[in-house]
Amino acid sequence: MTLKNLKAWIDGELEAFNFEPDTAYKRPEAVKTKVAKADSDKALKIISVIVAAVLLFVMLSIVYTLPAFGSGAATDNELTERYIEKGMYEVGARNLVVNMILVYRGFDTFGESTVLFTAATCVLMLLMGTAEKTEEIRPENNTTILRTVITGLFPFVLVFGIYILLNGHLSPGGGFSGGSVLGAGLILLDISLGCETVRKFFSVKVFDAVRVAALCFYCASISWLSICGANGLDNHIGTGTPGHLFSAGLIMPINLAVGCVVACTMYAFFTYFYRGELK
Amino acid sequence: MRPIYENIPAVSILFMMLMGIVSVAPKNKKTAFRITVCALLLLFGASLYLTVSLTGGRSFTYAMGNWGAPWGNELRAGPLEALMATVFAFTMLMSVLGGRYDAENDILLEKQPLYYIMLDLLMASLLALIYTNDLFTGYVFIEINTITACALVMAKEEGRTIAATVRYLIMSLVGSSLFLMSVALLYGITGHLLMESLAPAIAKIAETKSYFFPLAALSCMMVCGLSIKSALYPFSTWLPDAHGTATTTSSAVLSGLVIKGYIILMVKVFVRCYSLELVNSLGLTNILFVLGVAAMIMGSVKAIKETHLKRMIAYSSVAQVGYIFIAVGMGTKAGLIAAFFQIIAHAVTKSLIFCCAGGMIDATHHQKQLYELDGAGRRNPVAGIGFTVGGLAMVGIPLLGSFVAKIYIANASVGMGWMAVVALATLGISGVLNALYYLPAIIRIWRCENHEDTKAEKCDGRFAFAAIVLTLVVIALGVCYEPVAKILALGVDLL
Repeated sequence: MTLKNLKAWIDGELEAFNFEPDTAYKRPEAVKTKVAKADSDKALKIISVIVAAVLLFVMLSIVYTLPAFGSGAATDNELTERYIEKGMYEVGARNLVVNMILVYRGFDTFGESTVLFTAATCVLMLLMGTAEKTEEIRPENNTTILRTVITGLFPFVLVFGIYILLNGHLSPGGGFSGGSVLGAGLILLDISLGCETVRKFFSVKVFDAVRVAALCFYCASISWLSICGANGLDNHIGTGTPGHLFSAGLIMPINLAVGCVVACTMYAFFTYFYRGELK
Repeated sequence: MRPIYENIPAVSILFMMLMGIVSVAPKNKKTAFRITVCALLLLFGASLYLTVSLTGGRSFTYAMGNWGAPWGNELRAGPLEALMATVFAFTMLMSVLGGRYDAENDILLEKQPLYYIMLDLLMASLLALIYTNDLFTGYVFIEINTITACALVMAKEEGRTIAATVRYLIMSLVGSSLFLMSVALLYGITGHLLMESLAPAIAKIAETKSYFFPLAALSCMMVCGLSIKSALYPFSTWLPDAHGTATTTSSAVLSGLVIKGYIILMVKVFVRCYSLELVNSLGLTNILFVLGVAAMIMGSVKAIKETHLKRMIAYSSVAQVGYIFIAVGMGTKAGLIAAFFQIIAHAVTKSLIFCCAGGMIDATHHQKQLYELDGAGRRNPVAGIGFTVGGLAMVGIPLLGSFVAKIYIANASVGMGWMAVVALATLGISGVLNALYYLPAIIRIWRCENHEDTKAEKCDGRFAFAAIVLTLVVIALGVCYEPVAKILALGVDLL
C-alpha cells in the first residue's frame, strides 16, 4: 500500500478506489487507483514518521520498565505454581505445556483450532470458482534426484509426524507441531510426485471428513471435560501413570485430532493457493 | 451439581461452534442455512430461559474443568450477559431470515454453506466475548470474530467487497494485535489473565504506583485496539465500505452485532478489571466521551453527504456507536445502563433498517443510489414500513426504541458538569442531523410519481416475517422499556 493510498484510507474516501459500481469480480491488484496529487502528501509523510517515532519510543519505554525476564509477578504466583507442581499428577502428562494448553485451558485451544478451521474455510470461500487454473507442474519434469529423495524421505517424515503426535504428552511436541510435520510431508509429496499421488489417499472428501470428524471429537471431549468438571461430576477418564504411552486421559486422542486438523489445513492452504482447488 | 441453566453459557458457545463445524458435511446446499436457523432458535430460547432465571439478581461463574478459577477457563454470566446473548441471538436470527433472499442471489450456490458456517462461528465468538471472564479467552474469540466478519463481507463477490474486506481485515488486525500486546503486557506485570484476579492486582499497581506507566500505556493500547474494532470515529474509516457493500445479512449482523461485541468486552474489562474510578482517573473515559461526541457529529455529517443507501446507513452506525461511547465515557453506572440500552436498541433497529434497505433495493432492480429509489416503499410495503419505523427510531421519535436510549443517555449525563452540557447539546444536534438524512430517504421511498412503477411486488415471506417481527420489537422497546431497563440496571450492578 503506497502512501497515497494510505492517505485516501485515512480520509475514508471511496473515490480513492475508482470502482465501476457492480462490475464483475476483479482482483484488487488489478483495480486502478486514482488519487489526486495532493500537496499534503509530504506533510503526511512527516506526520507519519513523527507518530511512528513517538509510538516506538513509548513501546521501548514500556519494555524498559517491565519486570526482567524470569522475575516479577508473572513467574511467581499460584498459577505457575499449580501448573508446575500439580500438573503432572492432576492431568497425567509429563509434558507440562500440553497439560496447560489441552486440559487446563482446553477451551482456549479448541478456539485456536477453530481459528484454523475458519481460516481454511475462508480461503476456500475466497478462491472457490475464481482462481484460474495454473499450469500444473508435471512430476516428470522434476529431476530424478528430487523424486527419489522425496520418495525415500516421505515415509520417515510421516512416521516422525505421527511420533510427535503420539508422544505429545510425554515429550516436547503435540498436535500443532506434529500436524505441521505431517502437512509439510504431504506438501513435499505433492510438489515432487504430482498431486495425483496425494489424491490417491487425500481427496476433498477425505479432507472434509477428517477435519469435521477431528473437530467434532475435539469439541465433544472438551465439552465432556468442562461440563463434568463444572458440575462436579466424575468424568470417568483416568490419568494413568505419568510417563506411559497410554496415559493422561484424553490428551493423546485430542493431540491426534488437532494434528489431523493442522495437517489438513496446511495441505489445503498449499493446494488452494498453488492450483486454486482441492479435488 | 449446579442448576441446569448455569450450563447454558458454556453449552451455547460450544454448540454454535459444533454447528458451524458439522455444517461442512451435508451435501444439500440449503442444509447449512436450515441448521443455522434451528441453532439460532434454540440459542434464543436457551438464552431467554437463562435471562428469566437470573432476573432474581444473581450472577455466577462457570469454571470449565475440574479446577477452579485461575487455572482453567472460566465463564461468567449475570442478567446483563444473558440479556445481551438473548438480544444477539434474536437479532442474528432475524438478520439471517431477512437477508436470506439476498444471500441466495448475491452468493454463489457452492459458497452458501460456507457463508452460514461463518455465521455460526461468528455467533459463537460473540457469545464468548459476552460471557468470557478471562482476557485471553477474549482474545482467542476476537480472532474467530475477525476472520468470520471479514468472510461475511467477502462472501458477495464484487470488486468493491474484496477491497472493503482487505481494508477491514488490515484495520481489524491492527486492533487485534494492540489488544494482544496489551494482554501480554498485563500478564507480564500482574501475572494474571482472569478478570477476578486482575482486579486486586491492578488496584495494587494503581495504589503503589510501581509499574504504573506500563499499566497506563497498555490500557490505552487496549482501549485503542477495541475502539478500532468497534469503529469509534477516527478509526471508523473501514466501516462504511465493509458494511455498505456486503450482502444484507452481513450488513445487518456486522452493524448490529459485531461492533457491539467489542464494546461489551471493553466495558467488562473496565468494570471487572479496572473499576470505574480507576478508568476515570486514567482519563480513558474522557477520551472515549470526546471521541463519541465527534463520532455522533461526523458520522451524521458523512451520512448526509452520501447518496448510496446502504453506505448512508453504515455512516449512521458510526454516529450511533458514538452514542454508546458517550454513555460509556461518562464513567458512571447510569451511563453504562444507557450504553447497554443503546446497544440493544441499535442492534435491533439497525438490522431492521439494513434488512428493509435490502428488500427495497431488490424491489428496485438492485439500484442502490438514493435518487433511484423513488417509490421503493410502495413496491415493497413491508420493507418501506420497516425502514420508516427504523429511520424514525434513529431520529429519536418517542415510542420507538432509540428514543428511550437517548432519554437514558440524557438522564445519565445530568450532574456531570461539562459532560452534561456537551452530551445534551450533542444529543440535540445529532438528532437534527439524523433527521436530515433519514427523513429525506423516508419521503423519497414513499414518493409516487408514476403509478405504473410503484405497484406492490411480491415479497419474500421470510423477509416479511423478519421485518414485521423486528418492527414490532423496535416499537415494543420504545413502549415497554421498563423490564429491559430493570434487567440492565440489575446486570450492571452485578457486573
